[in-house]
Amino acid sequence: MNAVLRSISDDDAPLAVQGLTHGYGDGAVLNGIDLSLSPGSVLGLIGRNGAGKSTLIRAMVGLLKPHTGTAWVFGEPALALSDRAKARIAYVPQQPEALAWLTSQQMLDYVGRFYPAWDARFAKDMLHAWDIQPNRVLGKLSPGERQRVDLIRALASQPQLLVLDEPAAALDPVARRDLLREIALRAGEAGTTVLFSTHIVSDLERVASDIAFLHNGKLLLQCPVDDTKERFARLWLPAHMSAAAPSNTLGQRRHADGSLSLVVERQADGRWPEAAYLPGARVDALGLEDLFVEIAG
Amino acid sequence: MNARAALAAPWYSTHAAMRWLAFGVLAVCVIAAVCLGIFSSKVHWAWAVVGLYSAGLFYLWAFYLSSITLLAVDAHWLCIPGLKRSATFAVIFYAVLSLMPTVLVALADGNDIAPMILVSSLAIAGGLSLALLPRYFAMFTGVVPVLFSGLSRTFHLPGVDDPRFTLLTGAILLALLVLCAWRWRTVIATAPQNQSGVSGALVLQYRRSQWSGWGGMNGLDSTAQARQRPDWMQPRADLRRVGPLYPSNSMRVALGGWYLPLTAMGRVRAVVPTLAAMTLPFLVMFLIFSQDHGLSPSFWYPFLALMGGWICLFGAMGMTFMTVMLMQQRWRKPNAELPLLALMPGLGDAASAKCHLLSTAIGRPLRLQVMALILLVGMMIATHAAGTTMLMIVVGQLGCIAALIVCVLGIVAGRPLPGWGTFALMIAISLLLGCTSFLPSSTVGKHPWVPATSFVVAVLGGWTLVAIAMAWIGRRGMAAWRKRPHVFMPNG
Amino acid sequence: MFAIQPTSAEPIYRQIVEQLRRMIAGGQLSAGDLLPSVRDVAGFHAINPMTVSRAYGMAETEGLLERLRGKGMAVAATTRGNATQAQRMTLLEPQLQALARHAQELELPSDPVLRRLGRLLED
Repeated sequence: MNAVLRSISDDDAPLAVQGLTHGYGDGAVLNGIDLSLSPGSVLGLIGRNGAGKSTLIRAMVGLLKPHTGTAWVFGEPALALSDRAKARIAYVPQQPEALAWLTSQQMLDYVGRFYPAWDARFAKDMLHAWDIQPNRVLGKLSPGERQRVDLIRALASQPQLLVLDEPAAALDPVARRDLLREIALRAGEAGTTVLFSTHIVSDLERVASDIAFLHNGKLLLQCPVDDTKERFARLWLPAHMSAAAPSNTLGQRRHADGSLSLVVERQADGRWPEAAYLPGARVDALGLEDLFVEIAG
Repeated sequence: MNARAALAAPWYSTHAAMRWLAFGVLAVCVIAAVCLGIFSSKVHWAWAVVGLYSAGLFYLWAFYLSSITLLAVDAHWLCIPGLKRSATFAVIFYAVLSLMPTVLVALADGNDIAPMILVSSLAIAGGLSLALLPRYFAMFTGVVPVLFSGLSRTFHLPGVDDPRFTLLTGAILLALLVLCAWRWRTVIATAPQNQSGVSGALVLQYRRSQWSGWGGMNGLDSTAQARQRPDWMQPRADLRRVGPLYPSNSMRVALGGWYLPLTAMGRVRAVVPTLAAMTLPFLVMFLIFSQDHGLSPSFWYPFLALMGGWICLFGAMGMTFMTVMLMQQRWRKPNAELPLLALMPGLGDAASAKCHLLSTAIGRPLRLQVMALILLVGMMIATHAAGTTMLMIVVGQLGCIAALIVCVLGIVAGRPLPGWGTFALMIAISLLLGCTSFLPSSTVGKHPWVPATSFVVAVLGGWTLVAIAMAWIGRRGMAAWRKRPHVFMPNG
Repeated sequence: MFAIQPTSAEPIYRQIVEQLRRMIAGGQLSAGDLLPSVRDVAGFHAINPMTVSRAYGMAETEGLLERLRGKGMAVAATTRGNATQAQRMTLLEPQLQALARHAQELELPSDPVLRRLGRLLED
């Protein structure tokens, strides 16, 4: 059984999970998640608050033991990583709070000694660029500053896999843009694979190459970002035509006047479902944010 | 319109645990006062009743009713019209209400009406000023009674029968009232975030989550701690010997708190405040002791035996509690040190990292506890203490050591005791150790005191029960330890 | 050089291609002009470099751009500074279609719409 699973998971995939389920106490948070990142891709994970993004990410890098399913990092089981795999991965939790008793300089110095590819110069330059006092104790920094320090920590280790949980939540627009630029260029040039969760959709649209939408414990719309915009649209049907609505749609909403909005997907031949061509029906292109709201709302 | 809200404010602005504790203390005081009033036939019964009730009032005002200030603070910063005035009104209302029982008792007694009311008012004003003053004043409240008794002996302050008493208490009350009014204004007008350190008012701490429920036992988290310390008190970490070559030292850096390796200067800075904090109880004991014995060799010997014994006994217990609390805190947060350590290369494979961590986490406190045990045993042997005394001391120390090991194992294995469980264990251990706290000094006299057999049996029986509980905690911890894939996983 | 709207329903790579097309057709870019490198565009807008390469690749297959060895992308020599009228007309096609749909939804006859459009064009 193990051998079978092992062969299914791609050895080269920086990050892969299969059949992941997890829950806390009363209910399931993740319900059979399969996901695999190809090298150099930037996967943006979106979902509503409490959808389980953090749980999924933590299970993927082996920070919690899922109820069922397995996660692999560079082909190794995430719960028993070797030093070789650990040196290639960097993870930044949501609102990092590690090592409050060290100064940012000390923290970077401490962590840096463990990573073979540590770029001390980058760390120093970034501290300066992001306006962080190097001799201030981390506990006294604001949440945004602490997040920046931890991002510097993650980037300075020159990882091949960068996992960021809500990296932009506490950042101001300038720092956020800097971070996105760093992510984008590293992915494009150094071939770094990036997984990041966010609910700021515009960030995702900028840098992500792929998107996964976590909703009700399942992953929806797992595809390249550009495809999402071209493959999905909103179909509006007036009240008297709502019977013609196609059955397998992602989101469905009935308005007060009886008319119906649906999220529809192009068929294999590139055409919309039949109902879209009925007189009176209307197909609107959707940005990711609208798509997200249509499905989750 | 806001009067009702203001009157209900203390109820809503304190955590349930604090609220009930305050009521409990007041109730105990009142019941004791009533019992005293009924069963004592002395002339001064009214004074005893008023005294006890005032003690209760002091606690109630210091830790419960003072929280009206929080309402006033919010009213000020949220610009809610009229509410600040209602809060002031509520303070006055509750003050008058608190004085009512004293007035009734004083009227029933008929003799010292004014002094009695003054004493109760003093308790109210004293409690309120304690809550409104910066936190470091709270450290000194413990010495006030001793200081007062010392002063009254030296300066012959008037007693309650003296007519000058009214004058003196009146003057103190007036001073306290002025102090309260001034602090009330300052506390409200200063932004709360500028008052978070030890110089912030005590009352502002009541809203912290650390007071609520069992989570309070974990104390402040490391960020809040760093935030409260002024810059000169921040630990100075020594990072010369960290890295993949020094796994145990590196773990100490990551565990922080008192595990953190410090530079020589950092060590001095860390020790000085601790010593300063320890001098205070030492001084109090010194004052109490010297009043009874005078400064002679017959004073110093028992005094030092008592202090040394206490430091060893309670130091070992404190070490266990402190370590357990620190570890519980570190293993609770999913966004702090654990993910960093879990994904950091150079700490060895999962199995060796597990062992390194456990030996680092337990090793340091264990070394100090064993030292305390050796010191105590040495003291016992030197004083030819009775066998049972020795047995009780040794069992107590071993109990602390065992508690440390099983609790830490449970935490890092992912099966920590629930909050109430840790609390119960701590209470049991401190009660049992408290029972033996007089033993070190009892060995010093000319005729070593031999504890009664029934007492020995009761204490040892208590330890047996605790040992059974610990064996169970240890077993489930061990089972979970074996199953855990790696050790850096947060609990819950 | 590009104006990128990540939140738009139009994918970023299409936005880039579209803008290239317009700028070349409108004469703002002439044959032989060098384009900013993929890294510069991606870095400036903080977008994924792969998106930019995809856009440049598409423009290359369309014949708008050509790859100069060692220099990067340049506007193709075959593209004349001023595209033919038919080419420029196709660029207007989506807006015209939208206009036609709106007019139909408002049940307007075509004559007044065309007259109004004509007047706007004469201004």
